[in-house]
Amino acid sequence: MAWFKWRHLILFFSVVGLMVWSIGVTEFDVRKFSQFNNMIDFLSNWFPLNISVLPTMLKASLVTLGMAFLGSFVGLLLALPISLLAAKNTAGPFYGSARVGLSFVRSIPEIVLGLMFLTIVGPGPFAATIAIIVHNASVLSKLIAELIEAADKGPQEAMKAVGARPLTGALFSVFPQIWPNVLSHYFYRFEVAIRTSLMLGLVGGGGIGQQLFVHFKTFQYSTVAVDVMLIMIIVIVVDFLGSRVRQYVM
Amino acid sequence: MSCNEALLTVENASVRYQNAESYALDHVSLTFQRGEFVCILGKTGAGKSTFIRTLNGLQSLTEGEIVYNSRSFQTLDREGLRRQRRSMGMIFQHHQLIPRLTVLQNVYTGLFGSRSTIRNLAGLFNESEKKLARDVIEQVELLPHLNKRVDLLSGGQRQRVGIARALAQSPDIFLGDEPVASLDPGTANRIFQLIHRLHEERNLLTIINVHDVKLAKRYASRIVALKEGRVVFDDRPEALTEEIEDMLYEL
Ligand SMILES: Nc1ncnc2c1ncn2[C@@H]1O[C@H](COP(=O)(O)OP(=O)(O)O)[C@@H](O)[C@H]1O
Ligand SMILES: [Mg+2]
Repeated sequence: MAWFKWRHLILFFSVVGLMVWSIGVTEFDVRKFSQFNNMIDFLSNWFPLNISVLPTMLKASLVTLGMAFLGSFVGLLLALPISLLAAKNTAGPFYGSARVGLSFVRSIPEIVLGLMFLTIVGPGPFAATIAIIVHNASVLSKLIAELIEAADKGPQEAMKAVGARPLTGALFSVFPQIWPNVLSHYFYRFEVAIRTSLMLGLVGGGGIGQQLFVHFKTFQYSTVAVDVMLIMIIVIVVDFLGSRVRQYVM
Repeated sequence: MSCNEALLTVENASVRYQNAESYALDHVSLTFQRGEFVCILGKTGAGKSTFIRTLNGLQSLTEGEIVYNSRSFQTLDREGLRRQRRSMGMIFQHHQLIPRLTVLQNVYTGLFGSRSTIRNLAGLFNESEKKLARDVIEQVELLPHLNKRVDLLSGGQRQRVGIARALAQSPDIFLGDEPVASLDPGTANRIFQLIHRLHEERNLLTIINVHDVKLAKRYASRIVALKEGRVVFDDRPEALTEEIEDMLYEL
């Protein structure tokens, strides 16, 4: 009996093989950092910060926040009824089709949704917001459906026993139980939506993401620095608020 | 027990769970009248829960028939069954209240069966419904805790909320699935006392599963004992001898 299992040795060499292959396709080569001066050159262009653009960029940041909030919140509003159709215990005959439909929508990356809506409604925050709504509605529907399925069966049976209609029974016996978890999921999705709306900005979805992209392409590095700073502040503040809110609602 | 017409009749009722090789409820026939306080005895797995759940259609029958108010459950659709259930209040072992809602809100859910979906979802209650809810909460002595969240109450208090919810249905029948099994003996006795008092005041038919023989003997007007899904005893409490008890619990 060896101190290792042959099976593990095979696994080990497979993982090594996978790493070698990945290094190849990603052109992974730390020697490329040897021109370190380029990096310093590049970063030195960032300073001094171009403070004059701050008011405009603040406005753009608020657009990003707005996209993320509206996108995730409307997504939540849509997800609440949809999730009832996607949970085994409340869906009835809709379960299968709802699940398949949601998986399909969820499998479309947000960036693809963004590009799609940008071509349909034209560039700008509206297209990006719609993309975030669609994506979040599908993700939150699945998450909430799972909460509904895991909810304590006792109150649901009690509602059946008092003769409540199925919809009334489901809403009253399930939602009060899962509400804190729903909010917690929502705030996490809001945080993610901030990052998504930045990304969608890069492809023409407006907000601070789009500004960053434009400034970068036109070599205005001292303005890029302001954009990056604002983005970091937004992400940190929203992460912080999100974790506080999630603590609070539990 | 002056009127001899049956309120609830169980005929040849059998339940066989999926993939089970034997019946959980094995051709049970019983007749219940208004005013009876029936305790169902039997060891764990005897089929007590299965039986009580067939009485309001939470569990459907594999064979046989339940007749309530001269209507057979087997002929009813889902809506018809729902209407029948409205007058059957059920109390559960784990009370099965809705957490995070208050005592009053939980008691209001007892009215849901007889109101429109819109009014339920909007939380609209008229004066007589408000009064009814307060009255039943008063009857279980929880008026001081009216607006307290039920998850903050003690076990005995929660069970009394469960009773108030059942009372809010203005039931003809009380069903209980081991409603005192998780309570200490003193609290259990007080809960039984309360159920018995309400039973008398309202002239109900009460059918309760219980594993404490003493409680059954103290309060029941009739004891039915199940063993392996079959009725092995059905008589007045005085007739329950020690030999029968030993046989029931395999002592
Ligand atoms: N949902 C179920 N699925 C399969 N078997 C069950 C189910 N519920 C109960 N049983 C079985 O049916 C029998 C009777 O159970 P139950 O009615 O819960 O008895 P009791 O309440 O007297 O303890 C037991 O053998 C139990 O294992
Ligand atoms: Mg049981």
